[in-house]
Amino acid sequence: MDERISRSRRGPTDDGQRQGPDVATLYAWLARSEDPLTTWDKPAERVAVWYAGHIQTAALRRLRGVDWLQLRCTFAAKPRRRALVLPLVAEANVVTDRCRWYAELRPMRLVCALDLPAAKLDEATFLREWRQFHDEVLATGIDLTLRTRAERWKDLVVAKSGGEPLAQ
Amino acid sequence: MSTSSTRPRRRKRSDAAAPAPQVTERQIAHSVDPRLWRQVRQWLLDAGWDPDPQIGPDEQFLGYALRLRHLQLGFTLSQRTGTPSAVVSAVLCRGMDRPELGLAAADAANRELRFGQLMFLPGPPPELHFYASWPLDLLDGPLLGAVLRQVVRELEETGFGAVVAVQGMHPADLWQLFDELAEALGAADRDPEAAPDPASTPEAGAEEAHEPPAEAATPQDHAAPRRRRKKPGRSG
Repeated sequence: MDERISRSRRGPTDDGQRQGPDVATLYAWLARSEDPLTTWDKPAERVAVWYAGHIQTAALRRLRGVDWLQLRCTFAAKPRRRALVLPLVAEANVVTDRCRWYAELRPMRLVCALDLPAAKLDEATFLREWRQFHDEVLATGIDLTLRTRAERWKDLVVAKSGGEPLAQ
Repeated sequence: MSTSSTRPRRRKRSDAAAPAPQVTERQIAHSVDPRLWRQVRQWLLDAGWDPDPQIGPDEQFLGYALRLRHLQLGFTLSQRTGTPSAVVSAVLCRGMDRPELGLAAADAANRELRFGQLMFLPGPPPELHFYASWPLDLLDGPLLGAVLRQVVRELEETGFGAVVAVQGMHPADLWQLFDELAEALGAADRDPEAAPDPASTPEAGAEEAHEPPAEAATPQDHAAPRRRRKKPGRSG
């Protein structure tokens, strides 16, 4: 590399040839399988598929010479029972096998993440991992969302009864 | 920090009906192709992993570990998700001085982690476990070596932050641990057939030894008044 070029103009340092697919290829693979749902979350950076109540994204990142595929699933519902979030997320982490759950702050969201080496990724493997990740997320994510979002039963009864307070 | 085991100690909801973990792992081992396991074993040996003496010869599928002072990484194969997967696990902490911080520390670490997961098990005793798995068809020998080295770095950068939060480790212990991790990483990266570094030869050290020692600071140096920096916007 030419040392006379300032560091800010050199761009990101890359310690090797990138291996595996690029983001456009991921988009093409997903568009073939889940056509109407596939969108760009950030153009040329992240591919997204919107499902009911949650969004699943795929991105590529290089970390110390190894290319990684990053799958993320974010549940759109804000957890209202905040005191329950951390114990339930910890329980979900024990139950799930490959992915990890955590609470994203401001605004609080429940996120499930999975990272895989991307160098040997092909279309069949990517779609298999995409679907397995989605299945594993839903297996705990729906329960997690409902339990952290559930409102207090008294408020719910008051709302359903037309706003009149309950008789003591 | 306590010692760890090579076996992933994952507690699932169906533990009451499930057989003992060791039996399950043996069943997994029998379902994995032996040729695949031989290949993986060769990759591990090339990456510097040692056989675990605690494991008998009939359990060779589990018998690889990387030992550090405070930590032991274990490697195994799993087919829980339907595809043969490489699993790396470690018990980072068994027992906590501040268990009330365990949930928050594990959640923060999971937010920071770039792969794998940190599990908080309430116990007793409360524990922090690291667990990561990848499909074997996404790995090969050099890639597995690179990934395993990144696991150590990830634990150093993120996992031990959670341990310090719940354990209150002394900073001196932490620095010693980081030195050992750096040494282990350097040994893994170093090529044994590479030529020795000329800077580390005795001649280079001897030249430095002839240099005059720095003069000790005099009391006048400490008594010198500090110069005040001029604030911007003021003239004169």
